[in-house]
Amino acid sequence: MKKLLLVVLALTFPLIAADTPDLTMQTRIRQEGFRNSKDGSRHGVDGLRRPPPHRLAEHEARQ
Amino acid sequence: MDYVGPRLTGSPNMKRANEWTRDKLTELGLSNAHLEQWGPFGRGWSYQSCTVRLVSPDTAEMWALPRAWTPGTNGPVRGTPVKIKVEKIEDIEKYKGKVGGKIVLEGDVRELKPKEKSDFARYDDKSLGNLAQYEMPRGGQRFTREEFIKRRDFRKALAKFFADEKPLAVIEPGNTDFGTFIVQGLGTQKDGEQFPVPSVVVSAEHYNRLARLADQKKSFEVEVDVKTTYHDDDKNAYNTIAEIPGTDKKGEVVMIGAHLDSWHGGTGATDNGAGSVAAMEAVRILKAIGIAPKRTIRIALWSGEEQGLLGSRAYVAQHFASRPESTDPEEKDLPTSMRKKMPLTIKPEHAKLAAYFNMDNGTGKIRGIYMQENAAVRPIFESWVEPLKDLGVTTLTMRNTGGTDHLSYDDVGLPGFQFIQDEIEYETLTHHTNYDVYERLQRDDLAQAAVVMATFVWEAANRPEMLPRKPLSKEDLEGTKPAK
Repeated sequence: MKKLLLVVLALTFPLIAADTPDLTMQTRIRQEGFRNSKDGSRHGVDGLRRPPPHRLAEHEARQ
Repeated sequence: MDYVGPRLTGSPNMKRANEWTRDKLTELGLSNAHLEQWGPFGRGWSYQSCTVRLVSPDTAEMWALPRAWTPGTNGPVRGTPVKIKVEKIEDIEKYKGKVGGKIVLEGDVRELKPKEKSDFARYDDKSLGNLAQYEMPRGGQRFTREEFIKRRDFRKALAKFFADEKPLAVIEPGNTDFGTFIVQGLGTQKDGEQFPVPSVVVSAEHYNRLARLADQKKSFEVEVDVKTTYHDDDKNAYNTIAEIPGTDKKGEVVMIGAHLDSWHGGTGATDNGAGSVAAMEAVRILKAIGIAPKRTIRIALWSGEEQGLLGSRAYVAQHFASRPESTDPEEKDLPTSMRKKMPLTIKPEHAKLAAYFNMDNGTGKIRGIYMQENAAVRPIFESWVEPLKDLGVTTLTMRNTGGTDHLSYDDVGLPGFQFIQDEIEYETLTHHTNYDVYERLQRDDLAQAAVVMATFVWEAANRPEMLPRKPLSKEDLEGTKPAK
C-alpha cells in the first residue's frame, strides 16, 4: 500500500510541478526587464534628471 | 525606425531592417542569427516623393501618399479633376471615355463628424471581463467568400478600366480624419499585376475641398507629382531568425515573434515595430540573465504579414506543415481562411514545436492572452500569469483572435498564441496610417510587454512537457500525410 502511494506520488508530482511558475526566474526577468525603466524614471526618457518622488511636488512648484 | 523607415516587404528598407535585426540579435548574443528566404513574393516598391497641390484659383498643399505598388506620374501632371463614384462593376460603364488624360477624384465628399470619444483607450476590469467570456461563434466573417470574390472582381474591372482609359492619376480620400489617413496597397505586388495608373490617398479634409469644387463645377486645377520605384533585383523576401540554444531538450523549440514589415505611411512603429522591439527585448533579457533553457528559444521577425501572413506561412510550410495551393482559379487571391482546406503534409519538426507566442496589436502593454479555443492550456497559463497580475496581466480568453502570424501555426495544428494588449491609440490613430511613428510608442508599455513575453517563453521552454495542442480536425486527420 505504502509502495503504491509512493508510485502515485511519484507519478503525480511532475504534473503538479509542471504548472508551477518559476518564481526565481520570473523575478530575474523582471529585474533585468525593468532595470532600464528604473534608470529611465530617475533620469527621464528625455535624458533629464528627475527629482526623487518625495521631492517631486517641491520641484514642480519651483518650475 | 527613424533611420530605416517604413518596411514594405521587398523594399530596400525591409532588406536593411532584416540585416539590422540579424546583426543586432547576434550582438545580443543569440546564435544562428540569419535571414531565411521565402518566395517569390513579387516586386519590391518604394516611393521617393508625392505632392498633390491645388494650383488654381488658390494654392494649397494636400497631404497625400501614394498607394503601394502603384506607378509614378513621370513628372508633374496638371488639370481640372473629374470626380467619379464607382462602387460596383455596373457603375464603371457610364465613365467610359470620360477620364482619359484627366486627374480623377474617386469618391464623394466624406462626412466627418466631431470626435465624441477619446482616441486613447486601455482595458478596464469590465472590458477585460467581457473579453474573458467566450463569444459563441456567430458564423460569419466580416466578408463572406462570395462578397470577397465580388469585391476582387470589381477591383480587377476597375483596374482594367483605368488601364484602358489612362487617366493621369487617381486620387482617393483617406478614410479617417484630422490629417490621419490609412494608406496601404492594392494587392498588386506580383509580376504582371501592377495597378496601371498613379494612385494616391489624400487626407479626407483636403480631398473634400477638391470634391466640393468638382461638385460645384468650379474651374480649378490640381497638380500631382509622384515618383515611385519598382525593385526587381530580388523577387524573394526574408524572415529574420535567431536562437538561444536549448540544453537537454534542445531539439524542441519555443518560438516568439512579431512581424517586422509595415506599410509605408509612417515608419511602422506600432505596426509592428512595437512587437518586433518587444520580442527582441524579451530575448535580450533572457540572454542577459544567462539562462540555459531546456528547449531552444527561437525568435522570428516576419516579412509579408501585411500582404496576408505570407512570411510566417512560408516558414511554417518550410519547417512544420504545409497544404498545397488550390488549383481552383476561383480561389486565386482569396485569403487563406476562405479557401477550401487542402490536405496537410506534416514534417518531423511539427512534433518538436512547443509553442509560438506573437505580439502584433500595437504599443499597449499585455493584459492577457488569447487561448485560441485550446482549453488544455488554461491551467498552465493561469499558473504562469498569477505572479504577473500586478503588471496588469489578468485575462485568459478562450476566444480566437485573427489577423496576425499566430494563425499560420494554428492553421496546421500547432499551439500559436497572440497576446491581449491595451489599445492605446491603435485603431483610432496609428494602425496603417501616416501617424504610425515613433512618437506613438509607449516605452513603459513595451518594457512590460517584453517582460511578459520573456516570462511566457521561459516557462514554455522549461516546462517538463510541451504545451498541449488542439486536436486536428477530422478532415485534417483523414487527409494528413507525413512528409517524405
